[in-house]
Amino acid sequence: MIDEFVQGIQGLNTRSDTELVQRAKEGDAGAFEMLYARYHPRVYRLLYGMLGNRDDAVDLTQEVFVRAWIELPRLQIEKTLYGWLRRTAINLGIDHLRRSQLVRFQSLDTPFDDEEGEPLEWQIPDETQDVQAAVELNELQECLHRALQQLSAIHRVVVVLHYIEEVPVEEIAQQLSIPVGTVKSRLARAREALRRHLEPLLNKGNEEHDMY
Amino acid sequence: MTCTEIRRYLSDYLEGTLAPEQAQQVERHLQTCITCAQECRALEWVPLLLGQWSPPVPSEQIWAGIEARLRAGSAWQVAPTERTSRLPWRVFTRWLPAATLAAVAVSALIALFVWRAQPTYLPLNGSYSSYWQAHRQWARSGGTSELYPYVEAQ
Repeated sequence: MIDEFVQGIQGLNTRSDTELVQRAKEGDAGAFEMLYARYHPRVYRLLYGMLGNRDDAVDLTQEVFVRAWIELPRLQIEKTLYGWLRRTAINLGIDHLRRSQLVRFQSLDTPFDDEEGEPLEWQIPDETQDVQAAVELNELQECLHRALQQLSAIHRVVVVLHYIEEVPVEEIAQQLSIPVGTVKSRLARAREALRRHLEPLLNKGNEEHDMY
Repeated sequence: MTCTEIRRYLSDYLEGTLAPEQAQQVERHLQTCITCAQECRALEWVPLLLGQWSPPVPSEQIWAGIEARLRAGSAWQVAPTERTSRLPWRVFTRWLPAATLAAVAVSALIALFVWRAQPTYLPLNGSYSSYWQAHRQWARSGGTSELYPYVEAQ
């Protein structure tokens, strides 16, 4: 009996997104749960990275999947469901940041976009550090987590989208309604800031690299 | 350009935002300056390290919220109404052929049993009017089986 159940779960797990979406459309809650199990860590990481706040990330991850369920009958999946989930998550994340008035993507461009290489000054201190989550992480994860949390929201968004989610710069510019050059400039400034925060890890990486 | 100037441009160089002339200057410098080259390498590592960031995911908390909203909230009423009503119908249609077959088989068995249990009697001379006359005579005589004037059908 248990073996059959496990086989059933494994069977679902090996099915393609298209098949699971089709089954979910027909009312198969197990198929929808399998899609959730497959993609929620990535959606959560994206939103947590963008928002820098665990509770908001939980709420919006739920929102993404609730919307996915509602949209299922109209959803056309060519390859994977994740493309749709990611788009929805990014839109929700940006809306949330705008609504909470933490970020005005356009108006704050000037101080960060000068080509003169002025030292980066964080004008929006991040007040949403999640200490409890940081405690749970190991050394590497803790270091990465803190480095990300140190970034202002407008820089964290482009960093997470480009470096972690590998969204093309052009697409980010379109999503945020800012020029491509601004995105690149923010990435450059954020890279410098991250490099300072990740100093111990980067030195370790360089030492290992030099060994070969 | 000096090392200090070059380092200001390194991130922009890596992001591809420098003018071609400036980018060439940086490249030339990196070929000759080990310290700046190491700094450049450290900056190159930043995205690679960030790619390893994986925060602990409160999976159960997230799913509990989704499930609660889908069950109680408007989400269930918008789209899944069709789904919830479809489920019993799908079960019904899936089992309908099997249920029909089973009902026919049971009916056939009951009919066979009744048919076998009750012998069919035919009038001796093949006439139903004489059948009823003989039956009445047999009933008046007290209905003993020995006197029943019919034979059992073979």
